[in-house]
Amino acid sequence: MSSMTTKLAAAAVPRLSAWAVAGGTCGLLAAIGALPSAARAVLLLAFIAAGPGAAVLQYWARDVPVIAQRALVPVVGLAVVILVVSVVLLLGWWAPRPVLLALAAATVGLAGVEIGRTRAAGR
Amino acid sequence: MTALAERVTPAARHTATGRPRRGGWVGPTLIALSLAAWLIALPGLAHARISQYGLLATASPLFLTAFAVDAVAFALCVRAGRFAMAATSLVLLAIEQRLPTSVSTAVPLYSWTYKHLGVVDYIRDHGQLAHGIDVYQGWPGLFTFTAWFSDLTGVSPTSIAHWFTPVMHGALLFLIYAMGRAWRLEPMTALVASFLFEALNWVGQDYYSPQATAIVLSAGFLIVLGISRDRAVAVPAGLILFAALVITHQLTPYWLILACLVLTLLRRLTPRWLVFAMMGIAGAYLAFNYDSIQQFSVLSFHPVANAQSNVRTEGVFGQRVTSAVVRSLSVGLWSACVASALVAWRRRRPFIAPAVLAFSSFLLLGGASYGGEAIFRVFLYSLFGCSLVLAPMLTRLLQARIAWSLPVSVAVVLAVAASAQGFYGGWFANRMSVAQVQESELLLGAVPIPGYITVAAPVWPERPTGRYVDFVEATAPGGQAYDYPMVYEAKLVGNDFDTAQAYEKLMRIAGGRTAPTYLIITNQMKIYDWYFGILPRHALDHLTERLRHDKRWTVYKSTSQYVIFKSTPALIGAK
Repeated sequence: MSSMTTKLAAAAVPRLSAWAVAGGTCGLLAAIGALPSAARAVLLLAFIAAGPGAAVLQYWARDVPVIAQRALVPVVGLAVVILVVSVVLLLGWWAPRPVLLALAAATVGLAGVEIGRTRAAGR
Repeated sequence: MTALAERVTPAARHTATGRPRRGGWVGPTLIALSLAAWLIALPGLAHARISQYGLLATASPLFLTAFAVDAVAFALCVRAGRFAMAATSLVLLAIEQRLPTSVSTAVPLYSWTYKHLGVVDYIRDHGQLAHGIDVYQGWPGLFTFTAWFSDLTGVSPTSIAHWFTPVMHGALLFLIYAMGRAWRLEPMTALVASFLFEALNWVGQDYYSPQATAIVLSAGFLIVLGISRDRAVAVPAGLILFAALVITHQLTPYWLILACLVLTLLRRLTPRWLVFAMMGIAGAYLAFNYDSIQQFSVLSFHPVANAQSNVRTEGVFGQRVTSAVVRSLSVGLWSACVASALVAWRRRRPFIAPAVLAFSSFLLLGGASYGGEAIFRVFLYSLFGCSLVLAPMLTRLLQARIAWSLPVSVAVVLAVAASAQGFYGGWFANRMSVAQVQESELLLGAVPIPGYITVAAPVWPERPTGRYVDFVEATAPGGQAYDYPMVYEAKLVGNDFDTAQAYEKLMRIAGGRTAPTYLIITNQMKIYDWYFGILPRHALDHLTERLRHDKRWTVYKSTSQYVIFKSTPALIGAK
């Protein structure tokens, strides 16, 4: 086994944050009940695959190799959704749309803060 | 074998010259041929004749040929160092092996899948969990996710379950590759690891289920573990994955805890506090579910007994052949893994941590049988580590002199075929039909409580709607479940129902009940029970005949696929 790829993109922080913003926006759009079922399904899948996972991993973007980032973003996103939805249900609250809106807003918000912080640090 | 590394491999020659090797068209051609063979075979899979040897025996020979040709293509592409083509053949193999579970069936495979859909239905209907009713309500991660996704999108949970297997395998292909890279394998070697995980995964734990979801989450967790081997990286992300695992599945987190504990003791894990955090999360959730697990005998300190599978009856010859094939495959995989670890040890290459992942799942056998499923989980969990340990040796052998490469390639093709036999051996026993699923849903909604919706013998789409909770709640503490198979309750496994005594034994069970029994007999049941040796082939025909002539029963519904009898007041209480 050789040493793993050490290509740690310096620009990874904005990229992951941008993914999180895009994913979170898909989540917000998926909450629009007027959209066709297939469109909501695609948007929700895009949210799960790109949103929460990227929002979590953006804090370690400089340390996580690119290939691991690409694999972890969707699976961490799935884990975040499973956790949040299950814990909310265990607490006795079942409201799929508000939970989606909260998750998507949090994703966009966290990514926005990180983008702002990175830009401020870059000036 | 130690000399292999020093030889200039074909892949290395290719890299050194920078020019494509001659014969580079062979891999793509084989991939195209494999795809063509599979596409020709695919339409016939849904109509294949029933066989005790499974789908491979009666499907078009092109079906198995497609797997074999694709495996050859993969071996050749690895040998030639053609990463993109090897990746293409791997994706194709996953499609060929797993897509038929969705496109060649009308509804999800396996009767027990529907129990999971019943929990989803309950959540959607009631907006809460029925905590304590069964283990599924206590570990609801996948079910709450499905209910949430389904409510938001309108996609039915049955459709999600139906497409779950190919989607899960598609995700795993990339996750295992990334895991290999995180554990410091070269790109091609990581691809071989992904191939091993995908191609040898015969165990059929990839249907819509908590354990299949747990496998995907575990792959993510192991990526975090891999990148954290020198310095802790993204550990909170790993803990998020682990927490989701804990809320989704009862067993998988404990395997990961065991593996991490051993790694910590061997000083192969950073940060060292991680395993304690994992124990804390798992322990807290176990305490929350303590009332749920009290009713089950969770711990069993008999490793040999725990290694027994849950198939206790002796199946038909074809089932025994399939069983022998997969046992040989499993033993072969573990033996090859040990050999690969020894080679790595002799060459002073790191192997301990992946070997811990490969063999730590055996520790589970020391404490639980998991309803006879532990041995299947041991294999499934060990695939992660086995893939990491075996991939470097397999890659080197495939890229070595032809005297090494040829027999190894043949072994790879045979292993892929054996794995396919394991996966498709029980195909006909495990298929469900639309009519059965619809009837099961209708029956669960229509039968008054108290009542018994009882199968004569396995198998039937069990508990497909949330109303099953009402039936379970109406069952007296310690009483038999409303849907427990009659032949099990009457201890009539293996009986042909050709004598009045056996029939009356069954009647005494139904007669001892204080509410009507809806007794279900299906054609699928006959196949399943024959295949697994639960009942002789014509036993249920004999039982059906006796029930039809018994005035204590009426025919509630009869179709070409199933017949449902309802007990009359004349039977109830007539012990």
